[in-house]
Amino acid sequence: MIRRPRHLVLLAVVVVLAATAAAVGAVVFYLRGERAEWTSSSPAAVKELEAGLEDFRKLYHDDAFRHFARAAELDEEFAVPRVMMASMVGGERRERFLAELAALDLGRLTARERFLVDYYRAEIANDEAAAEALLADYLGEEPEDAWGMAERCQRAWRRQDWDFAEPCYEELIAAHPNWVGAQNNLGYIAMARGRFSEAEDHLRTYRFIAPDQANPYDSLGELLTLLGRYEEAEESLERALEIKPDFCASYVSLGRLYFYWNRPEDLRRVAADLAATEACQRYATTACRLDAYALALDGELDGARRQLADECLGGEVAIDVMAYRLALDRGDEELVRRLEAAFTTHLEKLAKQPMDHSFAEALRDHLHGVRALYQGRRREAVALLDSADRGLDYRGGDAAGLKLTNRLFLAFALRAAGDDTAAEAVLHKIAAVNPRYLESPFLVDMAQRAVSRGRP
Amino acid sequence: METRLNPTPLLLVLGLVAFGIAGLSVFDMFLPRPYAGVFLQTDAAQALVVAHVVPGSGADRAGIRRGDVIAGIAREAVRDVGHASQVINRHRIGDEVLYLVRKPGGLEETRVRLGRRKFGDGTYLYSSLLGFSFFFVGLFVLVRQPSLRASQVFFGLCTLFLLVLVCRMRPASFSGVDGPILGVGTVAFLFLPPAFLHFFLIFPRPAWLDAAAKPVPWRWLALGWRRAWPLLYLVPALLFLLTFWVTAATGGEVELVNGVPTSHWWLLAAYMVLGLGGLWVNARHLEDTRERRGAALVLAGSIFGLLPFLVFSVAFATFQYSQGFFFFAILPLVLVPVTFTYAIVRFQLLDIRVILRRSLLYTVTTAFVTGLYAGAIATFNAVFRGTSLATSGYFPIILALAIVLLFEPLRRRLQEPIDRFFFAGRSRLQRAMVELGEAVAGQADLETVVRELVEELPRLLDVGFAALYLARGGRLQREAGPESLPETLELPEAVRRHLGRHRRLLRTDQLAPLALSEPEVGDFLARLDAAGIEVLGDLRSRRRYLGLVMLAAKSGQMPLEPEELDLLRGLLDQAALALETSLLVEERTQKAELEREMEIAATIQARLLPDSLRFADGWQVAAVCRPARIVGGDFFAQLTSPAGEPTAVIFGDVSGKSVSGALMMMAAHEALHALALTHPLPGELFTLANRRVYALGRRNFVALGYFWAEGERLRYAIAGQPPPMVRRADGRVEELALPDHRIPVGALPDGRYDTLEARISPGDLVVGYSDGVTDARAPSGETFDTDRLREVIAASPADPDAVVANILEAVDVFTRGASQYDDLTLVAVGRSPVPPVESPA
Repeated sequence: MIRRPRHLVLLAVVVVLAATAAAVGAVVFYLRGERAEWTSSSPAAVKELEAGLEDFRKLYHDDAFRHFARAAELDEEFAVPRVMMASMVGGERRERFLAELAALDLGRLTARERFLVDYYRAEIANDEAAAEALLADYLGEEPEDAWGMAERCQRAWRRQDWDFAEPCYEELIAAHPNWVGAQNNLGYIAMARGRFSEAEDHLRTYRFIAPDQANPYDSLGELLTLLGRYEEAEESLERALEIKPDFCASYVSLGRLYFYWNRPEDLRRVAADLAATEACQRYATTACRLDAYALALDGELDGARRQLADECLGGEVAIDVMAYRLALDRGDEELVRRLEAAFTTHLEKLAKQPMDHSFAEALRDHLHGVRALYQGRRREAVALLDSADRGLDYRGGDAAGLKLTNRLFLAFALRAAGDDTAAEAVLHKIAAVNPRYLESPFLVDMAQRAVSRGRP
Repeated sequence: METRLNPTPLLLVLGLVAFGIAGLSVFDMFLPRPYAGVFLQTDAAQALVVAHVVPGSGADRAGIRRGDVIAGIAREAVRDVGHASQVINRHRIGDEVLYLVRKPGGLEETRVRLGRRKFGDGTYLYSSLLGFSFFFVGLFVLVRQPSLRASQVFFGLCTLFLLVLVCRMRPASFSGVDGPILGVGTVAFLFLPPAFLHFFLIFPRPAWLDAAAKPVPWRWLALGWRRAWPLLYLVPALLFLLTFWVTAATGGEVELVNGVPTSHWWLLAAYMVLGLGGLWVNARHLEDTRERRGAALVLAGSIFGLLPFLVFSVAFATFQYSQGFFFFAILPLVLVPVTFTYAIVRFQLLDIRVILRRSLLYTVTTAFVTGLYAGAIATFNAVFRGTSLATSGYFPIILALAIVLLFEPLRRRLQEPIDRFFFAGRSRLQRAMVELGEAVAGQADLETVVRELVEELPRLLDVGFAALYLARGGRLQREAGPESLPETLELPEAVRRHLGRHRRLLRTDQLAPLALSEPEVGDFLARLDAAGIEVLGDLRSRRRYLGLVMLAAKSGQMPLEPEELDLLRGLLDQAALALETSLLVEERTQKAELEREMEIAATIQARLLPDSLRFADGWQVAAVCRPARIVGGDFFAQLTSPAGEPTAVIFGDVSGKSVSGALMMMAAHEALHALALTHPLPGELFTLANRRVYALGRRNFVALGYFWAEGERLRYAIAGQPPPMVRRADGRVEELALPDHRIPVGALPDGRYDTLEARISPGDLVVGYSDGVTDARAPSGETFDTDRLREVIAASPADPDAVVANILEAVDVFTRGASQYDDLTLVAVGRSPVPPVESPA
């Protein structure tokens, strides 16, 4: 009997196994590669949709809307652009998009399309439970899908639940490091929590990824303003407006910078630019307030108070802490009551929303603390301002500087209460964040006046 | 019967796969890809931390430094090496790409010009060369000793070293294959410690498994290892997983050194120390001095090679938090393969003998000397650059002359010690073979030649024994060798032809294919195998086949090398000449002795023939006996009475020739003489002689003739002899009447012989003869025959002497000097003729 050498058998087994593995791999690769992402017969429509989604990620909502509209026009059966548009508008237009969507055959959608359609429809209907369930189901099946992951983080972001949002975004950028919204929001969360270096890294990474977008420059400008790096902040914000002259948020950021930098003329110019920008009509009140702040910086405190009370805060009164302090400073009880009433209403609205209310409560403590200081209740003012200090953070927008201003008033309240050591410590904390903050004469004078006015 | 799987083919396949992966790793380093010149730390889990920047590269010029973290490339945030490699590979060599780099002062953007991929740093280059050195040493050992467990484990160990040194130590280089290759390296790292321990516990052979050997300390532990080795192989992997699990559970971060946790490095250190301990025990308890020295050398190399590895890779990395000394950790590792290779070459460890070809060493030496000269020229040029000496026209001439004059002497000076070093053993063997050949060639004594060969060969070649069979009488007879070998051998014709055709010594396994077509070869080889024979070769001169030499296996498991067999072939050729000479001398001596004995026998036989014959009154008698050889089977004799009176003349022809015929003739002669004393009548005499001769043996018989006369009557008897012829006085020749029963005496157990009578007149002549007369042959093959005999008798005078002489002469003329075919006997008797009556007138 002839014996077949054993090593040949083994070799044959290895070769067969390797060939089988290669064949299976090739088939899987082929099938995965063939799976379509979007259900559309029009490649041009798909291209428009992808451009719209990209703009949506960049926060260029107007551009995104135009792309979605074009995609819907190119393919009348295309569902995703319609639901995206519905999520971006309200009123009749939303209803029209939803009606068009309902008329489509949604049975042939891919899993991602099905998720986007159902999820945004639930969002539009304010059905939070349904939206959460849809999101959970989708991520159960596609845990690495960027849109699903981003929506989960975004929900936490909207709730201001930083403890959930931060690791969520970190997980998102670990899988999709170029998801710029995540880099932006992580930057803000780090900033809010006082990790400024980390925040700057995120925002610089954001700027590195999307140098053609205005938002990273704007976000970075906000951070740099908070940190007192005013020249860098100015450069960054101007770059944002250079990229996108109708990027309204950057006008506001630039105005905030000039306020802290004590440059009333520049602040006035920015307010005028904002008011003149056609795309920023909804910022008219803000432009008015910026202009009023410029007056205040010029020492026209009464003029500023009047402008705020008569022109800027007419109708539905916005929450304006600066106006509240001015009203107290100038003894305008009417304006104080209006602003407190508006704030109370705002708090009542917030209370109904599923979100973290600690910031709002801290803001309330700040307002009450400032009022107590003006009214000579220094111990109470210290307690309230200290409570506000614990509740406030460095989140973006107007709130970014509020924590520093609160500390400034706290320091003066402490000093007035006779606790100079604690007052110095608080002032050091301010300088540690923004060494140039205390160089602003307007705010320091106002705090000083609050103590003087409230002398018991 | 338990069938044990031979893992060698599987090991070879896995080894080739590992070689392919390692080759891919190195090959990938040479691919012309865009490359910034940055090597990343392989242990940084979440970040692309710069481990090394190639001087002069784009990254270097852009200010990227060791310790920086690459956060983004070309407007993309990068999450890992694979992602970074994808981004970079979208660009071309020469492109300028924006990098986002985290430095101690924060994130910075910097432009990096991509260059061509360059091979890893010096440490990796050295590490790769070292890894491949391990692999090739392991492969060589496995190929030479595929069934030895130690060589199988050693190959596995070397393959793991290859993967660890080439794949795990690979600097992450922005390549898509980085991840898989580093992963393979990590897996290999998990199995390296147990493989190390496993090998050194059984290398070069496990002393504790030999029950007859000296007692070994911790034998119970070593024996326990045999059962627990799968567990020991699993321990590193389990510890690896456990480290990650515990660290994850406690919220900590695993501290990695070259891709594996420090706990694994410590385990590796523990296994290595245990392994070295095992090798120390083995080395001490080996019986063979040569093996012991080889094992001690490997132990020393392993200690000096591994100790710095453990200190720098484990202790420094753990306590000093520094991997900066890694190069110094792997630098001495080269001692492990080097000492192992040296131990194989020098001490034949694992029973591997390395035959280095002189031509190879010659080439290497020449290349080395050439390189030396090239280096010298380069140095000279560098030193004297710009001087008048360098620009002089005589400079190249002087240089060329210097090279011509110095090259060969220098090469020879280097070659001689190298040859002495590498070929000492072979030279000794060659010299010993030559000396033995000379000693054997000068001998004419067969016994001395055989003794020299059979006693010296085992000592020279380190084989168990040697045996020599000589061809005698068509068979192979054992001339020397162990008693366990058969006395005689039937050498199958196929084997004889095969050996004759190849003219070299062959191992028995090389003859095995012959057994497929010749079953008797299988039996023959089985007998040799049972006797422990491994090699056999024939002894033959140009003229004759002399015999067979057989050698047992070498001590240890090494087969005889082809070069040893070639040397042995030369020796055996010399020995064949000596053997042939001694055999010829022996045969000549024997022949001379035989001839002398034959002469003596012939003399004795001749003396048995009577000098003269007597016959009845009035009768004349003549006889002659001419043997064909020195001694013959024919005879004639004078029978006498107890009183000594002649009673008859007999002539005989015994069966057989030469010595046997002579002996038979003497026996018959003496028997007839003795019987004739009491039984003179021929019938009775022949009957009794028949019994005597028959008793000597079945094939012995004697043809006899008997003559005697009374008056004018001739009394005769014939037993097997031709019928006597009668020549009458008138010239007629006739045959005497023959008896009815005339079978030769001794042919049958019972014979009856008649006595006949014939009247013989005066002048008549009776001639009795043996068949040697009529069967005498001419050179043409023709026989003398009865007709010629009849004519000669007819032409002869009525004188017995004359007729005998005439017949002999006629036979001689007829055969013309050709050698005599058969003994020849003639007896002639006749009555004297009546004298003529003289007339009274």
